[in-house]
Amino acid sequence: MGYVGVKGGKDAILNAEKVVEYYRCRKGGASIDIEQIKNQMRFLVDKVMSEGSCYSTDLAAIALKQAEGDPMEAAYLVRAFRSTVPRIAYSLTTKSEEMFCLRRISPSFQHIPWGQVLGPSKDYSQRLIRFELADEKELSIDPPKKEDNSPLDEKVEKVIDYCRKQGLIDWPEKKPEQVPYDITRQPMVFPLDRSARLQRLTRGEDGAVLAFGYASLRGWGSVHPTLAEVRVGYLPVKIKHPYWGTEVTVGQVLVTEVESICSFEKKKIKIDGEEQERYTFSLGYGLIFGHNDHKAVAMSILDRALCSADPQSPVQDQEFVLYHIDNMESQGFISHLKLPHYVTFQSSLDRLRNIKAGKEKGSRKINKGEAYV
Amino acid sequence: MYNFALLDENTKREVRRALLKAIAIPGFQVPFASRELPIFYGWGTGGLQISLSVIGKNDILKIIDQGDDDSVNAVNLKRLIQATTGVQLTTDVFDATLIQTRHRIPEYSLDSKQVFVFQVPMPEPLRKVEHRETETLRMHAEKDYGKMYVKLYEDILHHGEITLAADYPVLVFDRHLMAPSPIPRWDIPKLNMAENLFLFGAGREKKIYAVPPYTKVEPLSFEDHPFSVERSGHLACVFCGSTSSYKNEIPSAGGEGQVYACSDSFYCQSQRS
Amino acid sequence: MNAILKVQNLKKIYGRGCDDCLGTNPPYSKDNKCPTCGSIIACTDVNFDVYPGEILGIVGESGSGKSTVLSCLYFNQQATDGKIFYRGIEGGEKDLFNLNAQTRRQLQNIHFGIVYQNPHLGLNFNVSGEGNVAERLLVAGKRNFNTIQNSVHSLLERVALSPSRYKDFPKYYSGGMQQRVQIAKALISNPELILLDEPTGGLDVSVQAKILDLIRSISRELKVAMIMVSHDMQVIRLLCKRIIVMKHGRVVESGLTDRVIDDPKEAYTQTLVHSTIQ
Repeated sequence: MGYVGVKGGKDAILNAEKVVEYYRCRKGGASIDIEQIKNQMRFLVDKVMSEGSCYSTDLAAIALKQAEGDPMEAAYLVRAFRSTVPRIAYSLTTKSEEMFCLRRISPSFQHIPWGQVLGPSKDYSQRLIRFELADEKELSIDPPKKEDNSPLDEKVEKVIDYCRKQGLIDWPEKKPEQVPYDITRQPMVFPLDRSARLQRLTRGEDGAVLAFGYASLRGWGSVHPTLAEVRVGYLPVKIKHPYWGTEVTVGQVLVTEVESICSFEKKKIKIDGEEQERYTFSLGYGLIFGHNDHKAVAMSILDRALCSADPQSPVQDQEFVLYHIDNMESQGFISHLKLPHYVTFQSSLDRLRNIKAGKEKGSRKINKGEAYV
Repeated sequence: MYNFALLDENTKREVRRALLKAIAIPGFQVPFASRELPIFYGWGTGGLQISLSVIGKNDILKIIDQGDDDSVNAVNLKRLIQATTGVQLTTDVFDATLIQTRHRIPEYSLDSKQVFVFQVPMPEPLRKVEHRETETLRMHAEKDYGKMYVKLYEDILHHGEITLAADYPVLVFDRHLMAPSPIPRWDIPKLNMAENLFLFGAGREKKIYAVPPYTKVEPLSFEDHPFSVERSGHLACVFCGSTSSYKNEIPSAGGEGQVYACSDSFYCQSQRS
Repeated sequence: MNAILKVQNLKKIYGRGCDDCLGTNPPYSKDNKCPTCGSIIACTDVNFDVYPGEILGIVGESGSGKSTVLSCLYFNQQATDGKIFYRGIEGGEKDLFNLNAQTRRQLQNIHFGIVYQNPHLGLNFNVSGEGNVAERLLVAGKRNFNTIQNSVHSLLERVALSPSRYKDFPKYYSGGMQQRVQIAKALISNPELILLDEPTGGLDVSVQAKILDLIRSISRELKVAMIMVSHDMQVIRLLCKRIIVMKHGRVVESGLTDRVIDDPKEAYTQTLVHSTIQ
């Protein structure tokens, strides 16, 4: 016989955990400091905060350390923690004009008030490996001078607001302050409204957002925007004071914001009770935690693509994009294929053998209680 | 650091509300928000959220994966629930008050005091014939199951037999088409007019549904092509000799033949002693 | 004789509508547009009855609203206003637009049948020809594979589809075969009413003649009532005893086909007649 039923699952799991820990530590040396991850792995930390849907550089850094640098795993750790924490309050609407900008560019207009500020951008750096980093010992640097792309120290007018004043883009509808559709607390029922769609997109997996956005740009969704503005900077987080009811700022978050100007459309609107036709540009919006230009740009494309009333391509289809964009859901389900499937596979084997027996030449039906071969 | 049964109380309340609605409309998929848990979506988070929401300090918990109490995934889920609740664990199907399962119903029948929770990967039975959620929602509302029946018709037409294997679609309470989760066909008859409550959780797909006690559950079939279970159930178990339990196939080393063993580990143990 | 189906004041508006076009007898400005708000009046104030066994014709130019009427009757579009009553539901007392979705689906699946000009609307191209026809027996609750298959085969034989093609997918059928399968699909549930939306549009003349012949003989044999929408007076004259003439969403004339064709009261009808019959 030689067969022994697979037992001892618990021991196997515990041993696997030990082996993982062994691999993390086996080379010895200094343990990475959380501050080092936060300070020197900025983009990784930002990615984990964005996909983890939780703004905490500390939490992201610890998760990254535990996940040995796997951002998907780290984002999962953060989300799993996040879902055990009760929601204390919903923040109030923040206007992004209030952003303290580190970076702000507009590909739409050459000269814009306050100017183009590249900020901490690698867009125009050459992708050459700097081998001297291998021998770098200590970090020390002087802050950049004011004229060297320093952050703007005042509120900066937005490019799309200029377009709005010109009548090229409509002002957003004024709505009273309301609790948003919360996709972490409310069931997802399609069609989703725009606030829910934006939440799904901003939590989306970096590569998936990029790939779907890219597909749209290539013609599978007919959105080829001009970016009005790309901003990276700090936004205040405000809540209503639970006792006094007044607005209080409780912190700030680093975000990347993109507004993209898409094709124009004809709308019928009522002005002073009279119906008029109006031509305006449509707008796509992207906003994500941390500094990540490409994800914010891709998100703005997808936002626009998903506004389509009559989807012609998969990336305009809410169900296609929003069901498949989430890191936790996709990696979880793909990975579940590694779980035992003995029972289900046995059921499929039974079907195939039965059909073979009935259909293939020289075969005969197998009787109940008879072995297969 | 963590609450009793991990989830915060509001989340548990939400899950329980969804469960009540699910029990009131047998076989209907109730959408819920579904939290991210410390285990992967797709690895039993739906079942886990139900278990964590209904579990009490006095519950006795049994978890099986593919029929096996000691399977890695079952062990992993048990570790998590026990660490956050401290409840008593068992492998004995008669002692358990709450049973969570992946892809099997125990061979011994359950009674009215037991709650049985399924982990569900794909809650939508119509996904096999229609990929769009808004459309399947409409089909359920209108009891428009023609496409599913046509799938069975086409199977017989082209292959002489229905090809659906595990996760065989069932009609619940003569109204809603339901995915019983990927249990083998062997287990389907156990759902019909059972004494106990069956709860189904799909975490990644964010749906909860239920089959209350004494509810009619009927696999789709034709009079002249009746529903049939896997034949391996009638082969003798190499360990306990049972000829009436679902079996896993054990290939021999040379690939020339195979033997069969019970998939329900507790059942097999108890048949041997 | 009691009508099978009564249609009262059927209206379909595309656009937001206004007090004028949403009321009865909306203002008219020589096209489908409401002169007040610019909404499209696809059809309005449409009234007719359908009697057992008859083929009622609806004619008009393209854009006259005839297909809109049909798709409202089959619930493919939601009518803006109006009522329809069907003998088979609560003795013809209940307005079908007030039915719940499940009962409405049963009407579509069992009591009514439809044949579209575009076979993609009527057939599932990823299911065999016979599977398409079988679907309506399956939703009607039939659960014996052999019995279903026998009924399907005998009907496919009746519509003259070659038995060697039963198992093929409709995408491999010719246009005429696709319409034959659609007709079989409509008939299989033994419906009281079949809706035909330009069923021979786009087919070449010899195939067209065969399909029309099939429709006529089925109507005589099975006494099933039909509503036939067409822009082709020749087709209508061949099949229908009674017709309704539509223009810009309104009924401009109705009556016995021979009378309407030989002695049209409206100039529009005259044009229709003369443009098709030499």
